[in-house]
Formats: sequence, C-alpha cells, structure tokens
Amino acid sequence: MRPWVDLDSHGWVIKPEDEAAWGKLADDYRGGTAPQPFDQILTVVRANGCKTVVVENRYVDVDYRSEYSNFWSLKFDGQSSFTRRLHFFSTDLDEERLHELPDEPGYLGYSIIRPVEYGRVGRTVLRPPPELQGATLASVSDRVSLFGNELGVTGVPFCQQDGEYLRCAHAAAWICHYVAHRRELTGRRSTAEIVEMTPTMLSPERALPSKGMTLNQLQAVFGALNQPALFYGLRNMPRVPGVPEPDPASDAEGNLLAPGRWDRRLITIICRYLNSGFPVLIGAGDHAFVLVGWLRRDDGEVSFIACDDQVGPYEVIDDPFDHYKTPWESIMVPLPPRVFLSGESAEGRAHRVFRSIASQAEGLEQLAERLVNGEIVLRTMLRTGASFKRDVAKQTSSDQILRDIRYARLPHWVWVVEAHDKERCDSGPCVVAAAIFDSTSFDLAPPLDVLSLPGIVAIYPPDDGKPVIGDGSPDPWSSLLPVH
Amino acid sequence: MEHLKTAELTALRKSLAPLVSNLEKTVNGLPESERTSYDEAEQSVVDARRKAEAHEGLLQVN
Repeated sequence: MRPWVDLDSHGWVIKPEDEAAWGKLADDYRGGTAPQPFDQILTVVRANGCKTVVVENRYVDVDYRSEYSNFWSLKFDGQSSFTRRLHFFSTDLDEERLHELPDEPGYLGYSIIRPVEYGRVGRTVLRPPPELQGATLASVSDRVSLFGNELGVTGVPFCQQDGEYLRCAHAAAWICHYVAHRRELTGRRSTAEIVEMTPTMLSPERALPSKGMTLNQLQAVFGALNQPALFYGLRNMPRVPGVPEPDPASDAEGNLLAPGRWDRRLITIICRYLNSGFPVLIGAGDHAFVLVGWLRRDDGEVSFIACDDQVGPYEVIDDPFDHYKTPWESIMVPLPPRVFLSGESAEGRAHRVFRSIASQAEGLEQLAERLVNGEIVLRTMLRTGASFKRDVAKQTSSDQILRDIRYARLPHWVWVVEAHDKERCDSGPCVVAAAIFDSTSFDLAPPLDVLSLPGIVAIYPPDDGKPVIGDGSPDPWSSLLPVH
Repeated sequence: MEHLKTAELTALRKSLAPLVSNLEKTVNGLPESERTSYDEAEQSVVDARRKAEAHEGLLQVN
C-alpha cells in the first residue's frame, strides 16, 4: 500500500509563512502531472489571507470512496481508500485546540486530496477571492464538520478529473450537480454514480478507462441527475429581440470563422442562466468546463468565471473569444426538469409585450422607442415563485401591489424579465418594466403571469382567470439582480 | 416618469388598462413587419435547439 495515511494522527497543522513553505505545501499535494488546479487553490486561499492549513488525516470522502470501490480497488497495484481533507483558515490557529476552534476561525473552505498521481483535487469549496467580490456567482453554502467543529463556507464547488475514471465531462457534470444538490434541488449523488449513469451505448468506446463523454452521454447523465440540460450549439444561436445580431467574421483569406470566435450572443445566453444561479457547461473542442459566474469590468465588458478542471477554481476569463479553448462550440445548462421555457423565449416575449403596449399607450412612447434603440435593455433570470413573492416586498411600497402579487398563483419556477434603463443602472433603481412568465410554458408565445409597467400592475391568473389590474408606481424600482 | 402629475398618471393608467386587459389584441396591434420579426425570433429559439441536437451531440469531451 502506498504511504498516505498516518495511522497515529488525526491530522496536523501547517502554517506557511513564506514562499518556500507555500511551495512545499504545493509540492506535497499538487501531484506530478496536473499540478495547476492545486496551485490555483493555493492562489485563491492566499488571496483570502490564509494563515493556517489543517490537514485532516484519513478522511473518508464519499466521492473518492465510490471511485475507489468502482475502479481503483480493481488495480493490481495497491492504493489507499482514504483521502486527506485540507481546511484553510485566515486566522492563526493553535494546533493544540483543533478540537475546540474559536467562534470566528476565519474559515476559507476545504479541498479533498485524492491519493492518486494524476488529478488529486477532489471536492473543493472555497470562499471566492476578493477580486470577485462584485461578481455574480452560482455560489452555494456548504457545511463541514472538522473534529466536531461545525464550519460553513459559501463558494462554488470544484473538482479535477483523474484521467482514468473521471474525465473533464464527469468533473463538469459533478460541479453542476453539487450546486443543484446544495440548493436542495436534487439528492446527493457520488461521482461513481455519475459514471454509472453514463449510457455506454452512446459511445463507440469502452467505458473504462474513460475516454470522456459524448455530449449525448452528458445529456443522459444530466437527465438521470434530474437536471436535464438546455442545449445550444453556437452554429445555431437563437435570435432574441433587443440583443444585437453580430455579423459573421472571416479570416484574412475570407474564410468564415467559427461562431465561437465572434458571436457575442453567447454572452447574453450564458448570463441569463448565471443570473439564475445555474452553472453553464461549455463544450469546446475536446474539452468541457463550467462557467460559474460573471462580472462586469470597469470598461463595461463581461468577464466570465470558470471552474475548469484543468485550471482550477475561479479562473477569470476576460474574453471568451480569446481563451485557451476558443472557439467554444456548445452550451449546456442543466436546469430543474419542469423548466420547459427557455430564458431566450421569455426575454423575447417580454420585449414584444413591452414594445406592443408602450407603442400604443399614451405617455409611454419614449419607452417604446428606447426599447428599440437599446437605451433600455432586458435582463432575465429564473427564480422560484416563492422567492419572487418574497423579494417583491423590496420593490414596492404599495401594500395593494404586494397583496395582489403574493396572492397570485404562480408556478414553482418563474422567468423574471426586467427592463433596465441603462442610464440609471449605476445610480439607483433602474427597472422600468417587468414581466413574469410561467416556466412550464412552451417557447412559442408563453403566457404572462405578472406584468408591471409604469403606473400599472397586471396579474394573469392561470386557467383563463380574470386579470387583476392595479395601480402601480410610475417610478423605477430596484432590480432583483444585485449586479447587472 | 417620476415627474408625472396626478392627471397625467390617471390618463396613463386609463390608457394602459385596456391594453393590459387584452394582451393578445395588444400584441397583434403592432405593425405587420414588426410582428413578423418577433414571430421569427420566437421560432428561431425553437429551431436553434432542434438543429443543435442534430449537429453537436456526438462530439466527445474528455
């Protein structure tokens, strides 16, 4: 058996105080052939001021143990069935008091290290680095018990492929799954269960050692995880009113370039789902990775934040058209199964409704015009009906509107489309219209549940009930999106 | 719209009420060219996903 478990120790503390000490920690755990993810983990925790690393010895990780049972135990060469779990703290902890940590230990998250040579980083959840403070992230709250101390961390999950049993597609699927699990949208499945969910008949390859997954296999896995994915190929992007359609780009010889080099509509598609808290899987060449957030830079452009199993957690991608995996080719968005309506259809329908009403109402001509000239832009997100009803209290001062909306019969998931006055976005309330759609409706002409315009609010009950129309404020209100 | 006087706000609401009460009629009140453009955009969402399934599914990611 390869040495990995210290039989006489619960764990130990490392306090790296200089580059050499951090370097030694990296050398001990990064693994030989794919070191970048662990290096990135150390970069993230150091950015958060990490002072103490607690190594939890002989940790039984549900994922790695499942991998061990299904694959590593079949090897002739012995391998440990245990992992180590590294916990990162921003405070200077006393090694003698690990059994009773201080109330505010400055927990920065954890990373499970598998006892394998290639791809050592297992389940990892870290607090995002300070540079991502203003980012929209598909973060989840995670709870861990370290020697009986209950600790919590909010961040985006990450894991690395091991090259034999788990490949990039498995790691990417697991990241999407773990987010859904922590949001209580689905039960917990181990990594080995994800491998076993992969239909072998959808690939000409033998299942083990894994050569990866076809996108059809990935879709089958997401279905089995109760997260069937919306699928977009960049060669066939949808048209969404209000979103500019870029002209195709060509190279110097006049050959048309792949859409993943120029079609900026991918940014709006991805952001709709990230705004909803759902990670987005990108297929690019022979690789898959997950976008977990976005942030608006000072120059107004969007940077994406990725969890790429070849790079590590919280990779910032400033330009999707100049990335090491450009051109991106496909987008998969695992969603709750009864979200039949796409964000694109909801946004397109909202644009049509806003434009139709504003162009025919006396006094809203400017709104109609500004929708067309781009001064008013639409922002779209998926919310539960319950969270929409909860948060609407922050958007209205009218008890009547609050009452009408909270008594409205809404489906479990709704698409919320807000019309933002761009000039106001940096200075305060900026929403001038909003439309709420039933997420179980069809992409063609989805019906409205709630419509809010300057001066009026309309609620459309299901089953052809009579619309409830009330007075609304003429003033803009705050967005449900913290960043937009 | 913050500067609207009470009378203007009342007039706006009066104008909006029938439009939001009968949305289908309101949506069909746009000029035909604009309606066609919106129809095509709606259809493009459905088509985009159908076409993508046929083209991309067999790509392998590893």
